[in-house]
Order: sequence, then C-alpha cells, then structure tokens
Amino acid sequence: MILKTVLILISIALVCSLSGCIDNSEAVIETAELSTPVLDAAMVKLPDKPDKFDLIKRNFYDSQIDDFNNLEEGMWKRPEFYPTWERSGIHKYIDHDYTRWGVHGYGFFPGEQSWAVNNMQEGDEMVFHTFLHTAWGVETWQGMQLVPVYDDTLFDVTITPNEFYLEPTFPVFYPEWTKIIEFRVVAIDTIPAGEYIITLKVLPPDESRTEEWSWEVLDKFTDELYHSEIEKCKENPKLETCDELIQLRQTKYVSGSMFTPSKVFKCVIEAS
Amino acid sequence: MNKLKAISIFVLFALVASIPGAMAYDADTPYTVTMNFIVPSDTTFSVDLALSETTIDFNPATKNSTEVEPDSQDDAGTVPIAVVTNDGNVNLNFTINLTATKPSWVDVKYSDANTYAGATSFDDSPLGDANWNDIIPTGTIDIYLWADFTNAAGGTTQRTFQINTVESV
Repeated sequence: MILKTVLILISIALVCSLSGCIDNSEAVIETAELSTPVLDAAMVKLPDKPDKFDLIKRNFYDSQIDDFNNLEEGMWKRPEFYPTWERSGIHKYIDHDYTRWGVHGYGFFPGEQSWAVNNMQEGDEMVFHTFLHTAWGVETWQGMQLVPVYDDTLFDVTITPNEFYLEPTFPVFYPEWTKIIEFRVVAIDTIPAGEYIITLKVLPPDESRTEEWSWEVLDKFTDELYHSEIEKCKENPKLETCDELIQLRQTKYVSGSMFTPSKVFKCVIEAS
Repeated sequence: MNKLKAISIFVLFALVASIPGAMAYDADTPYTVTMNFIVPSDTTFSVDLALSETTIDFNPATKNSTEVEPDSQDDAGTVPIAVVTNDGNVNLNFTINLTATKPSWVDVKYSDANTYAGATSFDDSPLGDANWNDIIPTGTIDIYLWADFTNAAGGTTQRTFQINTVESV
C-alpha cells in the first residue's frame, strides 16, 4: 500500500515536471460563447472556427505550438484568438460610436518573445513568427513597411512579408485584417554568449505603392456593408449627416505609420 | 523494503534522465534553439479621428489667425481631433510630437482638455499631458490641438504628427 502511494506521488511529480501543473493565471481562456447577430455579421468574411478552437488556443497560450504555420486560418483569423478581443474589442461592435472614425491602429501578438540559442555559428538560422493585426474598430486599409532593427555585425534578419496593407476590422473583418509575419535570423559570425534584441520600425510603404494601393482600395466594393451602418448611425442623436459621413469613410487607404508604438514588437535572443 | 528502495531508485534515475539540463554538452554539441513567447503582452492601440478626417488640417482664415482648430475638431462641443484607445492589455503612456521641426510662423499647441487656455506648445520633441500616463486597457485619451499663425507662408505646408506609446512601468 505504501509502495503504491509512493509510486502514485512520484508519478504525479513526474507528470507535473514534464507538462507543468502550475496554473498560469495570465493565460486565461474564456470558454463562454459570445455570439450576437452584430458580431456574427462582423465576422461573415472570416473562416469558421475549427471544432477544437478552444483546445488549440489553450495549447498556443501555453507555448506548446512553436510553428505558427501549423495553425489553420480558422484559428488566427478569428478575433476570438486574440487576448484583448473580449475586453477591448466587442464593445466597439455592440455599442459603436459613430461620432469617431477608427483610422489607425494595429498590434503584434505575441508582442514579446524570447528564444534561447546554444552554440550558434555562422550560417545557423532560426525562424520565428508573430501575428500583426488591425486594431478593433478600424475602418481603413493601412499600408506599412516593416524594417527590422538588430545588431547587424552578428545577424542578418529578414521579415516576410515586409510591405503590405492591413484590411479593416469594421464594419466587418476583412480576411487580411491579420497576417503571419516571419522573421528569419541568420548568424553571420559566431554568436558570443549574451542577450540580443530584435525589434522593428513601422514605416510608410514606398511612395509608388501608396498611389497604387489608394486606387486599389477605392475599387473595393463596400456599399452593401456600409448601408446597414448608415441606418445604425442615424439612430445616433449626435449626428445628422450619417449618409455623407459613412460614404466618405468607406474604402479609404492610409499610411499605417502615422503613429509609432515604441514597443510594438520585441524578440530577445539569449545566446549561450 | 529492498524492493521499494530499488523501484524508488529506478524512478529517480528515470526522472533525472528526463531532465534535459542533466545532459552534458561539449564542443560537438549541435546548435539548438528553444522558444518561449510571453503571450499576454499586447501593446495595441488605435486612433480615432473626428468625423471623416484622416489627416489633421489647419485652415487659418488669415495669415495671422490664432486659436485655429483642425478641421472637424470642435472644442466648444467637446469633440477632440483624436481619441487614442489602449486596445492592448498593459498600461501605456502616450506622448506626441512632429517628426520634423515646425515652421517658425506657427505655434502648435495640445491639451487633453477642450480649452485653449493652458494648452502646451510642442514641436519635434515628444511631450505629453499628465493625464496621458498609465492608461489602462480600454482606456482612452483625448487630444485637442490648436495653431497660432504669425505672418504665415501661403500654400500648403505639411508635417507628420506622431503619437508614441510606451508600456507604463
């Protein structure tokens, strides 16, 4: 009996040491389904959630999924995948303020990563990813260019894609409202032990792109989507010119570099 | 008892062997990499402009106009030109600046309140209001702007207005 008890206790300790029994209070997974006609309509252009959405999300939040390319689009193209959706996002759809126009806004998720490398030599490479997404309630197409900032005496870093536009998240989520961004880091020398930081700058796209994308966005058909918004806007007693206002707002391209979060993204490489 | 001891030792060996840190490394050890990402950190924020503006345009009636508001801002109606929302999940501090020095014939001022009196002049160095610090997730800041012109040059003069954010510590 004692033997059995000891073995059970050791087994539990072993399992905990391998899979982690400590509760991570920061990785909260909300299981409650929040579905209303307004939210359903906002997500009509997005892929359906896979059956195991909550389970896969849990594993992702527990850092058990390293290769983001393994995630199907039904995961990362859904707003419910992102940690701020329920707290910051939903109210912008349920109770939208038509006196304001969401012009700029984006963020990286995960916004911070750390990697440990051992014995990294010239030619060795590592690849990691993050998601860059439009903020909640933004109605414009935001063009931008991503430029990595790093120690170029030791590394060569390329970002893919590095020039593009993010699509709106209001009144509906367009499919390209979020993108997987790949960082490919190649050592160009032996990497001494130490800590190295890779960040990035968000710059305007090339000037020729700006003109091209402005026209491309203007050609997008959004009248149907905006029609219902005009009706909702009219219910707002503060506004008397909803038709004109909403028409002016639709299909607008802007440069996404008009504001610069100083900590948009950070990756720490700990070399030993 | 000996049987119990033997099994315990065996389990202990199994446990030690399962810990990667117990392995020895030498010069032939291949390059390895371990990844950890800190999921909760998200510094997303969004900028809402008044009505249908995508830029901040001052249109003074004369070349010596003062207290000029940007198009669509209405300080009397408490409509700021910009409202910035912390859409992330960490507290943020905000500052603003121009990315290049402004012309000498204009003085640009900001405030978090709708009153010109008490507004602060700014140029190409980041400045912020005390109320723009430690903004909690879902929290917002209001940005009101005014410009005073003195013998201004004609035509269109352009500067980039920048909003900066950093995580509160």
